[in-house]
Amino acid sequence: MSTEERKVVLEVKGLTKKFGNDIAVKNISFNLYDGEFLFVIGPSGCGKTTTLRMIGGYEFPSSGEISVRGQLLNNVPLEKRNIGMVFQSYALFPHMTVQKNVEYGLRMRGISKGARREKVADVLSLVELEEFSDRYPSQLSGGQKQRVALARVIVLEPDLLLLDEPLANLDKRLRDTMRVELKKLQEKVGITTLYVTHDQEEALAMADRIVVMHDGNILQVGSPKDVYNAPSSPFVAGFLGETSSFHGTVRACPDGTREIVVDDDMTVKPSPTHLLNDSDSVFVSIRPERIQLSKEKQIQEVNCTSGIIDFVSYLGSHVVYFINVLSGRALLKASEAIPTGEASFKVGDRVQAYWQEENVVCISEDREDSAVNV
Amino acid sequence: MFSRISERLGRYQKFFLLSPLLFFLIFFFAGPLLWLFRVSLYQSRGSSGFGIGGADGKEGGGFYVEGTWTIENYVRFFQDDYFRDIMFFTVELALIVTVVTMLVSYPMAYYIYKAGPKLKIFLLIIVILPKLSNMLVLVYGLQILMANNGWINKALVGLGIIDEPIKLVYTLFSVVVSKVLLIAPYTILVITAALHGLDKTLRDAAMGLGASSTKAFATITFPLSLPGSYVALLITIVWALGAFVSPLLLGNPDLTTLAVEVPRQTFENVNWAMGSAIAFIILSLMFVVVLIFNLIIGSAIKWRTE
Repeated sequence: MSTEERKVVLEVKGLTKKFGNDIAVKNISFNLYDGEFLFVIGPSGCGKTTTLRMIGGYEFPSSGEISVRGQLLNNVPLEKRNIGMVFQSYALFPHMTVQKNVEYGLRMRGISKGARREKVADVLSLVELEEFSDRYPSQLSGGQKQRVALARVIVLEPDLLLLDEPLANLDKRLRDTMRVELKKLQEKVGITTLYVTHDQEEALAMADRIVVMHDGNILQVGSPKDVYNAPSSPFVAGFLGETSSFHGTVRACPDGTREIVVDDDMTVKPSPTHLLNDSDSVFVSIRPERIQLSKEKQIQEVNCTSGIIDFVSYLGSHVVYFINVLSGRALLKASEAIPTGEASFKVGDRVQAYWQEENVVCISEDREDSAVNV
Repeated sequence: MFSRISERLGRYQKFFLLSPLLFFLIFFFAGPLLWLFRVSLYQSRGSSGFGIGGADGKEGGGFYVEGTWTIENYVRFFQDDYFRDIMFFTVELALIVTVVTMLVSYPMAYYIYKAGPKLKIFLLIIVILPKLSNMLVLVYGLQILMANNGWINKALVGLGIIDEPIKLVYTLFSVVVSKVLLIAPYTILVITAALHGLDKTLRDAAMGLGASSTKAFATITFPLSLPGSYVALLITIVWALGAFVSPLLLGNPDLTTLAVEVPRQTFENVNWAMGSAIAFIILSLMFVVVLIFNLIIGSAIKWRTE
């Protein structure tokens, strides 16, 4: 289903936030569609949390519009917006039991006690916390608190769910489990969700679409696959996943195609679909898992270079080789899955590194980091 | 062997840091307190003192009968209406002062908590300022302010609100006002600190769930500030139980507290044993009050913050 046919739940138009002279969010626009799980990712200070807080009503935008289901929210106070927010710290009320915490929003909406009990029971069973309803937050584990925080907003059936780094306070193991649980829960409830994180792995694993922010700008919007495989800027290429990146200059080949000179001894030939001009400066990125290694000489004419393995990083399921290209300056990262548990190469081995042209990402540096609005 | 000694010394090393204070407390606080307790168990000498012969005509006077052990001073205290009334008034005054102090302090502390950084510092200075001057100066100041021809009465008469000065000074009113003035800065500071310790996102979360700012205060901020405010309440009530300067300078003979009665018994009546006994009764009273409050409030709060 293409996103255009779906109903827009959240529309952000030209949103800007200034703190004194600092501009935290610079004129950004994006849409969020019904039932979608959208991730806003970026390094700390990129403006993602500020954006989230403006949508939730915890900060006022300096300019721009926020609408939910067609209703402009700019002047709607926080408590009147039907938007659920889960805080990084969970912000559970320590003096209330799980039951009272989840009931809180319903109580504020003046819903009768009987109806409240019923809804709370439903939601608690959804997050599998029925037995914990009489506990206080201090008697819960991190993962349970997380689920109470979710239940507390889901019970209100909000138009939109905002999650601010909800897994950041959990340990790695629990985070991985919660990732799956959260995604399943989101699909089960079908709630439109905006999730802010700096964890690119989380975004790739869970998102329907990803918005990459940097310095208050949106750099790219797309599905995890698009953003990973076709980053639109060097920053996005470097932020999501591992990559080997180079700067090079475009050169025409005798057969009319174009290649990129990275180093004296290394050229990269991108797929002809890339429109390049002669002597342009370009940024080149190749994912480590797309680079293959061999001890044989000269596997292919183009997109092949020789180097010496400088370091091997053992990661259990796979290894990452750091390869010094023979001509000197460039450094390649290549990963190899090791189902046998043994790596094929060792430090000091002379190898041929080669890759396919469709795996070469090249970005003209003249439009580096340009903001996009989708 | 040697290393074990130094290891042991190392373990107690941190206590050396405490030793000056410990020395001070043992010699100037615990010691005199024990002595005071001992004195309260001497037999009284009746109303005579200063070396004048006792009522029985035996030689020697003194402030108590040496070498005796008795609890008659305590027994007399609880049997004599005179002392019992003083005790009841002391507790009554302490409760009034505590209620008024809390009612004055909480809103002020909340206002400071909500204030911007500059206003906050200014307000905190205002709160602390009276504590930088002498307590007696403050109380005498109030005496002048509330006198029949003091500023308050002059202003009220001048504005035509009253025809002739009302009696403010040497009343329960003036005692309570001065006591509140003396205690409130501490109460305000403690409550302010408690409020600042609260997680602000809880209020955000409450409002995000649909609570108006009034409801968020009533359901989140206020209940969460109670444990900290309870500490403030204990400080207030213990302090109020020991009221001395205010009832002495702004009260009247009907407004005598136990703390006022101690020097009266000791110096005017020259009954050291009785004075010491009353001093100990004040201490016990504070202890009992704290215990009762702890029992009531400790059982009311089932949750704890992380």
